[in-house]
Amino acid sequence: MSAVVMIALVGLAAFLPRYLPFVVLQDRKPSATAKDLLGYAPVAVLAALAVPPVLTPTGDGDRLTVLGPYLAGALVIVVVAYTSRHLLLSALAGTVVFFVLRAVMGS
Amino acid sequence: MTTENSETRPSTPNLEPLRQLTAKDRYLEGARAMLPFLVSIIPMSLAGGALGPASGLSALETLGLAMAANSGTAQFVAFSLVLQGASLVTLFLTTLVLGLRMLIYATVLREHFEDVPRGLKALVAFGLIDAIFFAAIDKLRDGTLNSHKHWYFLGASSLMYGVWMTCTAIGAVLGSLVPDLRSRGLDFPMAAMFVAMLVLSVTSRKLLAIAVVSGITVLAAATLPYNLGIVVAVVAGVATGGLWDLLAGRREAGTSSAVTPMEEN
Repeated sequence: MSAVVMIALVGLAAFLPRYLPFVVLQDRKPSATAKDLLGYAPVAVLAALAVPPVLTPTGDGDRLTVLGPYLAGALVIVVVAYTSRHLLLSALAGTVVFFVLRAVMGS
Repeated sequence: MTTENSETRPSTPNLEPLRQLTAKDRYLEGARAMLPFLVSIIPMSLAGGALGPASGLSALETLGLAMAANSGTAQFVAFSLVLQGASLVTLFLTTLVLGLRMLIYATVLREHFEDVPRGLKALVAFGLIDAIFFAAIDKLRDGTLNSHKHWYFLGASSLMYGVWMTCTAIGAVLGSLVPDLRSRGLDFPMAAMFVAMLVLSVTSRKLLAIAVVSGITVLAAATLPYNLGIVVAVVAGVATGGLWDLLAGRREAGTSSAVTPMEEN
């Protein structure tokens, strides 16, 4: 895909939600329900992005890897993130486990 | 610099007994309010910059995407979608969905910026991120941020944007020096970031249900073209949250999202 188009589209998608409320529909307030639903989107996006690489490292969508570096690394992240509440620390811990396991398993 | 001259005005009986703050004071105040965040965004943006080349992007494309997204999450998501070869439609829709909470921030903020010129409003909007919103909203509510409000925002966002993009550029250049990052399994650090962000944002049973439904849906919909499965999964997840609220019968929603602390109701 063309890099310039890609960057422009991301820029537009990032800017519109930030800017539009400042200039349009000045008298409208979003309903409480709408606010709630908007608040659910980030978690849903994160789940949609976090799950496939962990459960299908091959990306073909029909093979669940029961135990391998990907799943093991992810489990470590879940545990460390849950206990430490620290983003980088948990991502780092899982990544270290991932690479150690890969090296050990020789893949 | 449209509103530099408020020192001559009689000050309102307020929390500023000594003097009116100038635009420059506000700018610096905003930047100072962001200093604690630098500790976390510097390593994050260095790592984020290195993830670009790991997704098959050039250093320049990495920086371009980061500058356009101005959001760590949106940036990582964009890299990940590029890595998966997703279509432009999926890339656009997913970025849009991730930015939807900004709609709420901007809606809450707009009453404070009614007298600010459009160009500056656009700059404030462009630089808006979670950290700035939450740093400013309390000050706006209690009246301590009562003049040159946009300069406060611009001070905060220029520091955050400048630091983030500088570190992203450094990370991207370092990342692109290592040949063929991807085949070395360096796609895992990105997945790791998402897993960690997911765990940290699941703070209630309802959010867990949303995450589970979204995760199952994306696996089930993996065969859809253009990675539209991600969009379908997000819709399913959000619908789950809505259904949960309906079944719960009362409105305790929102305890979940980052948006809550400043809700007016």
